[in-house]
Amino acid sequence: MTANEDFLAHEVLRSRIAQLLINEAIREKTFRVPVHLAMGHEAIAVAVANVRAPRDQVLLSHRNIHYQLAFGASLKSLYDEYALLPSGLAGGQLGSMNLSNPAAGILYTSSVLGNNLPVAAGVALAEQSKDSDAVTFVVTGDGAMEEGSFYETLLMLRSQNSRCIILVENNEWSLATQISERRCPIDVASITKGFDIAYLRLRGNDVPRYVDALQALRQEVLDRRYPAVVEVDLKSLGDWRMPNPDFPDGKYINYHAGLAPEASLSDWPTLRDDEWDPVHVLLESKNAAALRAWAPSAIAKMRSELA
Amino acid sequence: MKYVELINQTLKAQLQSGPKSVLYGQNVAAGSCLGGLTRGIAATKSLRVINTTNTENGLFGLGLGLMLNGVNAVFAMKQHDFMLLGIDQLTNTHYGIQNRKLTAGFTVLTVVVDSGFEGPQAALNNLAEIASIARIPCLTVNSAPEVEWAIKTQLMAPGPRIIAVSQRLYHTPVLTQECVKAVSNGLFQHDAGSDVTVVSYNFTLPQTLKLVDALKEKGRSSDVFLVADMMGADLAPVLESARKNGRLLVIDDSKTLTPPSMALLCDVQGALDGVKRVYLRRVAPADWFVPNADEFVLDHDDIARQLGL
Ligand SMILES: Cc1ncc(C[n+]2csc(CCOP(=O)(O)OP(=O)(O)O)c2C)c(N)n1
Repeated sequence: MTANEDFLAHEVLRSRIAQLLINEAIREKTFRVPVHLAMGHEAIAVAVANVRAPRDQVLLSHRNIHYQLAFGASLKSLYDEYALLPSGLAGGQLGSMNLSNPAAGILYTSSVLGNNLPVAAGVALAEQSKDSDAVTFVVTGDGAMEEGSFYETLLMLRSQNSRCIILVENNEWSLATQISERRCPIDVASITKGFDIAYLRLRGNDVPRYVDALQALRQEVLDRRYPAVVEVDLKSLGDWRMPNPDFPDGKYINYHAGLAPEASLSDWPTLRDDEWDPVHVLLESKNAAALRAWAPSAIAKMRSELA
Repeated sequence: MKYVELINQTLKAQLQSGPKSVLYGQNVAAGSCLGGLTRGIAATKSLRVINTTNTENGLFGLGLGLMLNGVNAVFAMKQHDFMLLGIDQLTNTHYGIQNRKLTAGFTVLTVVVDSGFEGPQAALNNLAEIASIARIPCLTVNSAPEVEWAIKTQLMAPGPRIIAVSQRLYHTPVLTQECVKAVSNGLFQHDAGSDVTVVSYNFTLPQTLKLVDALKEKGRSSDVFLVADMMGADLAPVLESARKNGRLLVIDDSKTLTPPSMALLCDVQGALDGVKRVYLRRVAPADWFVPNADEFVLDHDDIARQLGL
């Protein structure tokens, strides 16, 4: 395992542990603002943070805690932000779903679906005006990409040949409706082909592989001067079954925001035992035993950060 | 019963027994169903129910198209600020069909984000501005009489409208007191008295009624009006009452910079000459863009003092 791979693995773990601790605080009703956890989304955020050049900026949406953490926010600064304290990451002025952190490269965040996409096109165009070789990243979802602004942004980016990478975090859900419950499938590969925009699909939560693929794509975007769309298949973990007389096994509740009632912190903070859990995927790395050994001390240390 | 439960029940009865209609919106029949607002409203022979995509501009066009073609449309929306994405349809399309004879209605049933913790969106507790640019009637629902009126008589009436409910009131017990006077054109009278005329706008009825109780303890009685159709209500009874009582108190918790309540106080006709006027409204724009409790608290003693009571 390379030093970077080791770092990436620790970042995934740190992100998960932080989120589970935030989840505990949500359980205690510590926050008045809604918080959208992103457990299961850690791999792509850690990879983007690793691939970005110092001048690259990202624009986020309502579910952004994984990027905040990957871009260096401390657990304490996030906790305080959600508690609306002056010591929070944004001085307690933004809460969670509009949280940006320009100093760390998170230029803008909007909880309004699709809102950040054209703004990203503007940010990317500004980089062109400044003759910079920065690439702009913007994060959206399979729900938010239904907004017209997604398609308008593809058109603007390609027409201006802007260096922008749109990341579609496809968790199949928009609030409580699955794709099949609300719309026809959208073949993003074909759509990007129609616009002559690069397309990459990622799945499996293997962070070093994500890093390699994103690095190559970033270079392609730079060299060919055009935008790209990355569709990342993932699951938002924290789903659960609510007791319900009509459903013998309980009614399935997808995780959207707030408390993940059944997610709790153990020495190894995995939430499911397959490729949909980036923490589980770490067990396949050569360093798995060392990571397992590291986790309890990291948990203790992060817990003490909040004490 | 809770505020949201009463609205839900009334809505369900109305939609399931009404003429051909479509109820649609994001998650209207999934998950919490907009926190219970549209819970349990299943399709019937005449009612189609659609969990839609996240395509607000299109969804406003859809509703206007349904209405134009004679089918009632109810677009239920979890946050009223999503209307901003449909402003082209709400303005241009709506303006373009002003002279049509319509046989169906288009209701935007929306929850106003007035709980404050959404952050920047909380600054958008400004329904009147949206209604004003769209030239669309905008009805606010505070208590049981307005639920009855808005949902039973307005929901499917021909033409477009916004019916707005308050997120802050969602889980509070619904106010069920009877009105002292029959509803006239979006104006409700909730109490009668001779010392002051109190007019409540947007979602201030609960605070207003508490204030009125406090004034009662001081031996003062009030005519209390709720303006539920913020742009369309006939305010003649309010002016008449104010002249009679010699004091007018207007209370508005919206974050609209030029609210209709202000027009009432401007008194362009001179109808309020000699009437002592007190206006309670939002004045701190800097706070509007950050998450906070956003409560509109009334200082009873100070208000009594300002009114000279
Ligand atoms: C314009 C707009 N419409 C509706 C919403 C309400 N809303 C918040 S999150 C969400 C689901 C978005 O799904 P997706 O983009 O896939 O992100 P996910 O929450 O699944 O990560 C919806 C509908 C919103 N925030 N903005």
